[in-house]
Amino acid sequence: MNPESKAFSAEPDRVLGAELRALLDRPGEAEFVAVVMAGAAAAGVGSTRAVLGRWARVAIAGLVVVAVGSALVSRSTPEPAPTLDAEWVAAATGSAAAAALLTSQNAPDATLLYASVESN
Amino acid sequence: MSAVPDREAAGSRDDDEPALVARALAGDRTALGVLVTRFAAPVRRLAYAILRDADEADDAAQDGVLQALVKLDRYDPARPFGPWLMRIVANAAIDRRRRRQVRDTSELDEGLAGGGPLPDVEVDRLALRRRLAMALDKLPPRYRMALVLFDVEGYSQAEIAEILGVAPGTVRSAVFHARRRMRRWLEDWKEEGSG
Repeated sequence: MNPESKAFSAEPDRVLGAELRALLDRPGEAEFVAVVMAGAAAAGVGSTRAVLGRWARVAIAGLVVVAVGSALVSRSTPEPAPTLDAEWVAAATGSAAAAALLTSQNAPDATLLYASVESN
Repeated sequence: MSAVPDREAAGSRDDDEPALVARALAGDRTALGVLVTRFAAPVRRLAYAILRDADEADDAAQDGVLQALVKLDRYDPARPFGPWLMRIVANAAIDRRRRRQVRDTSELDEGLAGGGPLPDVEVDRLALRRRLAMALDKLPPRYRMALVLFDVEGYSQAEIAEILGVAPGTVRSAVFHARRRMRRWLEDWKEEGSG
């Protein structure tokens, strides 16, 4: 063993280490490995099922990330700005309902038509 | 008996362990066997140093290694495998020690229990080992773990800090005090023997 020192030696004390290793080493290493390997097999470590399960977890996590990302993107998308046509019609007629009716991409809605007539 | 820390003696290469883990996770039983065999002796020694009971130590080491293998996919391959595994095994042994009453008497070394006359050199060696065992038993568990991980297993202070969940300075202090106490007890014993 190294002589008594007041300073800490950052190197392992190899003599003390060897004595301690001899003290702590015991026979039965092969049995230990066999028991652990049997336990690992029983627990399915590295089995096809475990591999597929791991991939499934990764896939599910990926889908969740994509879904959350999509939700955040759609939430942050701004409302479409009124088109120039709609603004022009609204300014000319003084009616938002008329603007909606005239600039709509869809077929006229009876309620919109009625509202437009009413407002004029 | 080799006088080099276990990692050097076993030719352990930290850099191939992430690859072995990846292969084991992919179902390669040989890679799994290499990992378990490589760490069998160190984990058994660490558990024995903590518990000081051979059967309990093996049970704790098996529990710890199995826990690690079951959550092998959580191992970060960017970090060394040894400290990760040793931490899980140390925790398994510490948990087991907490659950049981600490035994007051240390086990008689198997070598001492055998019958028949022994050569003087062998008697001295067995007596030294028994004294060493008693000295180790007297150390606080944290000192004991730090000493074994540093002087027997050859882990760095930073790695031991990771294994024990303490600051590197605490490891340094624990190893320093553990060595000093061990040397003092062994010196006292030698003086008693010669006096």
